[in-house]
Amino acid sequence: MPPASLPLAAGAVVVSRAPLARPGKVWNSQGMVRLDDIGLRYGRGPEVLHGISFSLPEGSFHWLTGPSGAGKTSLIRLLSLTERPSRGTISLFGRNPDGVGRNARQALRRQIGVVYQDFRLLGHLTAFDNVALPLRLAGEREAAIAANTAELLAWVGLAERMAARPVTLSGGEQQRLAIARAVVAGPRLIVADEPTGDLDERQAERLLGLLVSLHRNGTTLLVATHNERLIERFPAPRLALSHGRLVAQDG
Amino acid sequence: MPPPPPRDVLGLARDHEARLLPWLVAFAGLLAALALAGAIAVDAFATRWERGATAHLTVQVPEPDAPAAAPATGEARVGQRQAGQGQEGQTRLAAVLAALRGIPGVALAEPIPRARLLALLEPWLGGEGSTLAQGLPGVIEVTAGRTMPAIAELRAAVEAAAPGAVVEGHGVWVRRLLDLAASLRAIALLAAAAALLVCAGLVVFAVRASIAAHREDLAIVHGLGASDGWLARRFARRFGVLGLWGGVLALALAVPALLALALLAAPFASEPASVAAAGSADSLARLRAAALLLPPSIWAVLALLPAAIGLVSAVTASITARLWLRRLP
Ligand SMILES: Nc1ncnc2c1ncn2[C@@H]1O[C@H](COP(=O)(O)OP(=O)(O)OP(=O)(O)O)[C@@H](O)[C@H]1O
Ligand SMILES: [Mg+2]
Repeated sequence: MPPASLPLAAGAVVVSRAPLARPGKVWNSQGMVRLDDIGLRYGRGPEVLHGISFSLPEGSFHWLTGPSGAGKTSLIRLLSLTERPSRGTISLFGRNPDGVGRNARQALRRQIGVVYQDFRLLGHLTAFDNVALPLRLAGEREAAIAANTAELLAWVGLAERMAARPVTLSGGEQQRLAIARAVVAGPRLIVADEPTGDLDERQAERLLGLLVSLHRNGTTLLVATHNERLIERFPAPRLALSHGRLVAQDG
Repeated sequence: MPPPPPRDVLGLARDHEARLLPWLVAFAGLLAALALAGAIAVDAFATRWERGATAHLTVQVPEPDAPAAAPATGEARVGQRQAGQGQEGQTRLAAVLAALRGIPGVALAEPIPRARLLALLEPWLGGEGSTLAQGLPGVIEVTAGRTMPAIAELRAAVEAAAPGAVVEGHGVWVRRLLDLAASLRAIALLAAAAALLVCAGLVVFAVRASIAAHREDLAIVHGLGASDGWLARRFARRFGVLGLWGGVLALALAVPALLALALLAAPFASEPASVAAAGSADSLARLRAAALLLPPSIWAVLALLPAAIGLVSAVTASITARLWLRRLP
């Protein structure tokens, strides 16, 4: 999907307030994301994820839930290729990211949009340049970058703050910036870690609406959250973690 | 209107420490420049010595007035026929003269008159009456033309015309001087290479410091999918420019230093114009004469130095960055 269509598609979702989950839909049986008996330990520490296996079909939307410390962020770090599993295998888009060369691994990364729990924005760049960066890494033309970035920033309510540095933005504004950066290049997979933690309810719904509209256009989506109201608002199957184990996988 | 794209995604240009780098590189670059200039100058002077030394030869003919023997070997006969003037009843001196004059590349072959030779040697040998003076060899001065005859060819011809005649080619001294020049040049080139290595080492440290300062930003941009090559190019560009500045500074330091050296050397120059200019009151003329005294290739090599240092810096920065980036997941 070309980036240009993003904000319009997102806007359409917000206008139509229809329930977004489609229970009973038959997912593509070929997992676009597949984890097989994954374990993760940080350095020489204890294992924090144990024997995780699941697959996310292409174009699916799942919630990732679990109490604090359950391992949601750790799982997202695996899916964003920020960590390598200490056991088990991962398959992304049919490829094993731990079995390909560095350039191929980075190319896989460019197809994954990540909203980090701590945003991870570049402090010395403006809001505009933070959002434009994935497009620049993808080698887009500067004219297309300018148009898409400006449109998306306007859509997340930061039109007036394009030239602002992240430190001068509120927590909620930074979160919207992080979401805009994750979606701007039209990734195939979006993983978001508490993407609405710093937003008020109206903004949370609006931003989640953006992510869900991308899912409806074919992007695979996994969102970690504690926010049960939001889950009710956007019903979808859930991966539930507890103490580093997958305890429930409905849907 | 959105702001223009940042060329400096990692914010590398904001490291103030790195601004010291061009100055450090400049001093190493100055050493490289002086060493290179030294190597070129030694090379040029060696060529001049070689040309000057081989252009003038002396041939000593013992018993110059004895009759030349008839050539005994076929080889010698060829030599004489080449000379074209081999005649019976000739003196040994005349035979050698004739042989020398017949060799292409010999511009002039003149016997030094016996009287002048005696005058030159009088302090050692005594006057005409001394017994030592009786055994004096005939001496022929040979001046080579544009194309130098091979010394072996001269020797063969001279030996054929008058066995025992000696070609004195200053060869031993020239060889020793050339050997000296070659080792000087090798040392100078090594010093230049070492200075460039120091430049590269300075860049390695500066890049490592820069990486440490931007570790977090690097991890973020890497996480967004930037390839190692893309990230390494940011460092190559930034440190290539800093190295280029260092090279320009090195050049700015090296040119006055070399001109000063040339000014000091000008009074000893062999070109009369340089010597005259060195004594002139017009300092501009003196500078110009000094600049002309240095081999022109020095200026060409110096002009390339900033770009070379910039390139070395860029490549070093790229390699250093790539090696570090391998740690990122
Ligand atoms: N970098 C790290 N090094 C060592 N241990 C870590 C690291 N990050 C997380 N952990 C540990 O891994 C476990 C899971 O943490 P994780 O951050 O994945 O939980 P979470 O579900 O995201 O929690 P929260 O809801 O509070 O964000 C915790 O016990 C935590 O202490
Ligand atoms: Mg977390």
